[in-house]
Amino acid sequence: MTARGTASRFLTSVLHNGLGRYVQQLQRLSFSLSRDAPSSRGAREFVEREVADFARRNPGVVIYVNPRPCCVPRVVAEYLNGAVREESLNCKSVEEIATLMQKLADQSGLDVIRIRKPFHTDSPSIQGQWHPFTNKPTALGGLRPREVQNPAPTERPA
Amino acid sequence: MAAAVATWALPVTFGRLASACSRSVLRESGPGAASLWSASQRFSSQSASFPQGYIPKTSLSSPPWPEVVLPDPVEEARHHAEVVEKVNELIARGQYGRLFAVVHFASHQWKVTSEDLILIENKLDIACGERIRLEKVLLVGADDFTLLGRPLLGKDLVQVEATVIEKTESWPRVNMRFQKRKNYKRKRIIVNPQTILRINTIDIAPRLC
Repeated sequence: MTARGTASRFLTSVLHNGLGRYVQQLQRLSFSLSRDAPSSRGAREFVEREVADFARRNPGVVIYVNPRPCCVPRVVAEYLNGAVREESLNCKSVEEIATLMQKLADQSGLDVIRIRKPFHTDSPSIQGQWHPFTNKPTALGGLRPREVQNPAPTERPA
Repeated sequence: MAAAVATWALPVTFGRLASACSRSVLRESGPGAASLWSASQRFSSQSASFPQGYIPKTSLSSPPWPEVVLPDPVEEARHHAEVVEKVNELIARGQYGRLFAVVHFASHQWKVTSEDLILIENKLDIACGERIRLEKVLLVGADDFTLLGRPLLGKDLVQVEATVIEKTESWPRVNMRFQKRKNYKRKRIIVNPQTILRINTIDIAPRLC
């Protein structure tokens, strides 16, 4: 819908991932595909050819393959923060399934909703947050508004 | 004589009361009293107390902005050298706390410290978990000093390192075009690839040149 009508969140990471070491957030992939149906042809080929290499490239992910009679092959991705995402592999080619798996492996389990700001910092100010009295000279006894002090020499920036 | 005195604006600091010339337009106020005639006789074209080119202070005698007095170039150079030496000392001793940097990356400028996240709205061909060095640094600052580049700082001076932690897609943006009563309706869902970087460290070298 609109940005205002849908949920939103701030940019975060799961448990400060990337600070110390990077941990892949994908925990489990469960494929359910059919042995005979034509809609799961791509899924079958993926399982025959690509899934072993994918598993070797991502050693932190557990992959389950369940062949059972189903009309629509699916994959359920579970992440370390408990989020579960289900994707359909219906009538997809092997390349499409491979890119989809790579995308799921690169994502973290955070919601795919509007992110309010493209940055996040825990220490927004280092030199002190600006307020209207920063870099203004002080006066003994207090200046009244529009009262000019003795003109101070202009400061040269270093 | 009287006309000459009337047109000549006597300054306030000099002011002496005019006892004789009540018809003069300008009134002088101040301590003491003396006749204008004696003042005009004393102050002819060669005046002893006013310097050459003296303009009395009125509302239009000087521009409304404050007058800027530039410092002496030799003194200025000395001051600059002092400041640079102090900053060098601070950096060499490592007496700075958290550093922040302004970094140009992916056609945006980001104000960045360590441990913070930035979101890039495109795909970088970098695997998740890899460490990157952000090279275009425009500014580095600590609590006590700031280093500004013109426009960039040297690569031997600053080092900003980041890790790619996530490569995901944006939320589905709906691009819909509609014109009423013309049977025209188009709908397109746009999903942008995104990369999230975690800034790990900002380092500065121990010597400025």
